[in-house]
Amino acid sequence: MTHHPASLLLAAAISLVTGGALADTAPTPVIAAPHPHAYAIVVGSNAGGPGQGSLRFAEGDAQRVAEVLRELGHFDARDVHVLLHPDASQVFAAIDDIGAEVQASAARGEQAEVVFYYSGHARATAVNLGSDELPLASLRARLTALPTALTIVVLDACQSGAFARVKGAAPAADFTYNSVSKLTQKGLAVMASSSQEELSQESDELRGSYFTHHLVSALRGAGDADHDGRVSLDEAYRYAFRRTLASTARTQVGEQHVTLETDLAGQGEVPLTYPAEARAQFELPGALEGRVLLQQRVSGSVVAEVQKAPGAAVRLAVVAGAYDAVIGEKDAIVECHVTLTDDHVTVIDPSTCTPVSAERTQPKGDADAPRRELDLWEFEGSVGVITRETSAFTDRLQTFGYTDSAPLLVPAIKASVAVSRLIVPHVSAVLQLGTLSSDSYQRSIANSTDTVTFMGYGAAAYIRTSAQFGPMFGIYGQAGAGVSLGVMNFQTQQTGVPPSTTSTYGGYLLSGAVGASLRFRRVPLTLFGQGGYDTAPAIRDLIGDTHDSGGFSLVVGVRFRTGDGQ
Amino acid sequence: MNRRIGNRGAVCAALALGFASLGDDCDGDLVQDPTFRDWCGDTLCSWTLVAGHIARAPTWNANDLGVSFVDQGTEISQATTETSATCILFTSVADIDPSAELTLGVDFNSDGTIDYSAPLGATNWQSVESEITAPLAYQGVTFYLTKAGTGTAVLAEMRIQSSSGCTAAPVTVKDLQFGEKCDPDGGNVCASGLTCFGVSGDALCSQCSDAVTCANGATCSTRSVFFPSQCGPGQGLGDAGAPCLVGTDCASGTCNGAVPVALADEAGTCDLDAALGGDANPSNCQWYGARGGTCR
Repeated sequence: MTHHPASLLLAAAISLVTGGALADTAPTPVIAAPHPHAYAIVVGSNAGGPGQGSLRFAEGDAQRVAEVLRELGHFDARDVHVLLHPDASQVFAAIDDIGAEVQASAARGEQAEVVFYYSGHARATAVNLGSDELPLASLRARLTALPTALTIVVLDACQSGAFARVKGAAPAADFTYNSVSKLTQKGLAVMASSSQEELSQESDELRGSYFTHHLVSALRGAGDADHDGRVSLDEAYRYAFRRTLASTARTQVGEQHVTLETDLAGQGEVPLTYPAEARAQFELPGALEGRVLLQQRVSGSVVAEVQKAPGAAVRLAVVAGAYDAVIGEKDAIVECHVTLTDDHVTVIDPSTCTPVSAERTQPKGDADAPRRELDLWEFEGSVGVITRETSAFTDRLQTFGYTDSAPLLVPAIKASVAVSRLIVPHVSAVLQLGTLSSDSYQRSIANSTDTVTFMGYGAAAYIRTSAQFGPMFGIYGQAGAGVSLGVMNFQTQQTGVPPSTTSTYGGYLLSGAVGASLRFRRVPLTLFGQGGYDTAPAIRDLIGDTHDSGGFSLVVGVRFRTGDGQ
Repeated sequence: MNRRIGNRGAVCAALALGFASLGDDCDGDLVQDPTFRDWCGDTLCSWTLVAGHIARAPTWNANDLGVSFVDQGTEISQATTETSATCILFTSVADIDPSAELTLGVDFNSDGTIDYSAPLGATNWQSVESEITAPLAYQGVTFYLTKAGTGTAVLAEMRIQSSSGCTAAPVTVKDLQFGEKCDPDGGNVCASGLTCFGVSGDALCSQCSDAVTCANGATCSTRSVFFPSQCGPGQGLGDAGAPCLVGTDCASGTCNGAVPVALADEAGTCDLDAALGGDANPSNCQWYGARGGTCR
């Protein structure tokens, strides 16, 4: 990876506003510098190609990038072209349109720069726009043909995965590496969401890709390391690199290294946004240390996330409006409700905010986070013991001289598998298959032994309601009904009859249970233990006596979350 | 004395666990094949079909079979050599229609005379127990099961076991033959013309006793303690129809129907005529008694 920052624009000094009580101050003016006419093509596509699942946040990421460019970049709103779920021809058409405008600008003696942003699926040689493919070579050719002073390409290419959604091509055919090698040209900068042999990821919590989320936060001011009121390409890259690496280090997919390849000799520093020029600003005081999540109150969308280190104050430029800032300090988590107004810098004071529980700080909460279908499902298996019940059937066996083969009070083994789907928060539908109770009776008369063995099986649908106590511990109760199958084997040494015969019987199954669960966060598993009662009268004798293969049970088991879990 | 029990198996299991020494209650069957499981063709191997017709029949399970008494008057029996059981426990599991009746008959000494009989009662696969106190002395028992009526009668189990603790009076055995054990305190149950003589427990139906003298001045004596008292044994005094053990007891020289009865497993073989013929000292039949016959 090469990186060649150089000065293009004069850096403007801005004064930093130090923290204090929630206070409003006027935004610090930034000395404007000459800037080329800026155009942007922002492309987002959730749809995957063949063999690729749909992404959730690629198009949203594109919209957020467009917003921040319009708000804080020197882009006219009409020069930011947003293409959501386009095909290749639409992308090419947008590039051609911009190319025409750039040529017109050049004819007028104006310099121009173009930002091309893409978020979506990709393979090694092309980006995937649903069923359509945009060949990388063609994209390169179109972009490098633009008569611009500077072309910045930002690629956040993705592919779905099981635990954290995976963006981008498979590691064996790294998109980023190839794309950089093919796109880097003179006057060209390419920032990509991951390095060679890495995958890019989306986050449910952030409701976007890690990379774009941190890039947008950087562009809103979090990346303004030299506090000059502008966020340069270098600053945005450094911030996005650090934060994306930190955010993905704990994911199952693994670390994601943002790359920047530039060939900008003579270009100097490349400012991307000018947060200091924003009319509404949000300032984190210098003494503050911790993670700050800024969310729009109405939409709940995460506008910016900053890992604030003690030292200088940090300003974030956002649109005026109502926001909730969740600040996670060392010892506490607080939520601050702030209303940002134009022409003011609102400084936050955590001491005046409202303490909240850790659970509330999880944007991944039940109520507001849309879930993928995959996240709603769990698979589970359990094993335990169940009582061996007596019945009219077993009484009859005893009448005929049979005795229970197992020692008194020794329970039978019970095992089951199930699949569940969350219906509404805290309520799941469960389909379970499993064994019920079993038993064996023997009769020995005159050196001859007869053995009766019987076992029950059940298939039932349950409704399970649950409650969580903290992030890991939960309790639940479930009740259901279904069908049961009783299987009886009779082995005899009597003359004139088959030595072994097996009979099957059908019946109903009613079941209920309560249990406790322990949910692991780093692996998609939940351990649980439950006690319950089943009733399943299916087995019958010729006299009409029935046997209930149910009983009281105690089981332990494990649930596997297919996605991010219920 | 019948009583229904619901969980005999559990009782037996508990007894077996806690009181192994009481195993006779759950074991010690006096008859073979009490669950009617061994069939030789169309008849039971261990039971004798006396009359009528029997067939296999399902019980609680299609392949756990019992015996169906098909015809009215169908009767099966099984003779045993049992001599010592003082209390006999009967346990039956049967499905007997109200229009049918299954009767248990017990012939002590297996002499053809039913000494005890009782209906098993109409049941629907319930376990029914009854017990009788055996006579003070007997030599072998034959058990009979006889159906009356037209309804269904299927017997899944007929366990007959030596037990203990019977409180009822012993079964009175009737018309005991010459030489058979009898109870001198239980009244004269010997056949006509015979008298019960001897020490209680060893008394035998005899031709004479201290109280019943012999005709014509004959001497009342016995060949051994295991044989009944006779009038002039071995002297050919018996007229036709008189009780006898061997031919020398009869004027005709022929004694019909007399059979030796082994009193111990070590008794060996005994030919009454060879052992007793003309000699009142039965040295070759040391451990034998005899059920007497009658002179020709």
